[in-house]
Amino acid sequence: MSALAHFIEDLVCPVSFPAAPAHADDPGAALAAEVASLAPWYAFAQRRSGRTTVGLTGAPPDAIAVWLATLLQGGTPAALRGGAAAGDNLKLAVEDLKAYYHEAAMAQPGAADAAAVARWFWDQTSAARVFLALEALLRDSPDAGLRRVAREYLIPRVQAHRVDR
Amino acid sequence: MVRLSDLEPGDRAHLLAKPCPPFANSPFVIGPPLARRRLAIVTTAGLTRRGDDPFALSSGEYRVIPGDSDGNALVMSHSSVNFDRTGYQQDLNVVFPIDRARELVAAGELGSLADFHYSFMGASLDADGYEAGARELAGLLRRDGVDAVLLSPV
Repeated sequence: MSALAHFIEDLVCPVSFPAAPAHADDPGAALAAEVASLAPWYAFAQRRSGRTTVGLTGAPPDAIAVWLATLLQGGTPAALRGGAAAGDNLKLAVEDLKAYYHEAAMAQPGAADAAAVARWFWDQTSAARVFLALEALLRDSPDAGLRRVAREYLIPRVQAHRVDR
Repeated sequence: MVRLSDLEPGDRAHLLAKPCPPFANSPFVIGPPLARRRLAIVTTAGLTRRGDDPFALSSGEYRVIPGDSDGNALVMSHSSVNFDRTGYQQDLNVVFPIDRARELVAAGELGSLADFHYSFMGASLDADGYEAGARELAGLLRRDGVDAVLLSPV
């Protein structure tokens, strides 16, 4: 490797961060904008690998973002996956959206490793802020399924310090 | 595979607290060389075929993965939120090494692959919770002529 290549490698950020959301007071809009901003990288990742791990809900990422935003606003969105309970829909939606973000991030220059992707996701993204807000909103939900997912299946144990108790 | 020493303390303590019942006997036997064996992969990655019902949050069921499935045909509905999925997202073989197994068959180092492989979802239940499904699966593997199983714990 040339000296120039070493120099450039040292300067490359492992993940290209989207611009700061212009919807700081509207997490749903910020999430929608962020999902749209990642679409080119997600499409590139699919073309390059020939596969995607998104697909549990059967819904596209922009529809998942709308679904989560509706839930966060206190609404009762129609099931993304017909026949699945609300809690199961929440779990599937969260996993699909994380997969979308991860695949998009890993397609970007710099070959981000797992730790860098996790830091980016939980430190920087509107999606993570929506997940944390949903945890706070639903952890005492009267819906047992939503309550269980919010408490046990939404925020990783290593990110629990971010949860506002 | 991640070493326990590399995990966050909370994750390490969680895994070490899992009950690990001992076998009453030692059923492992020495069989023919790999080049004459028929292999099935059994993973606990919570893999399902795209479009199939995902695993429930707690489930001792297993799902069938046809041997000719390609990577894009499978998705993961593992309920645990605590493990890193980026390896699997980059390469299915991290949790379900089907391409490596096919390469071994092509190289003559492995006899053949089963017509079907299987996935459990390795969260929320202790080992006993999988026993019924595992016993059922053992019968299916015998009918498929399988005499070697690669276990992929996730």
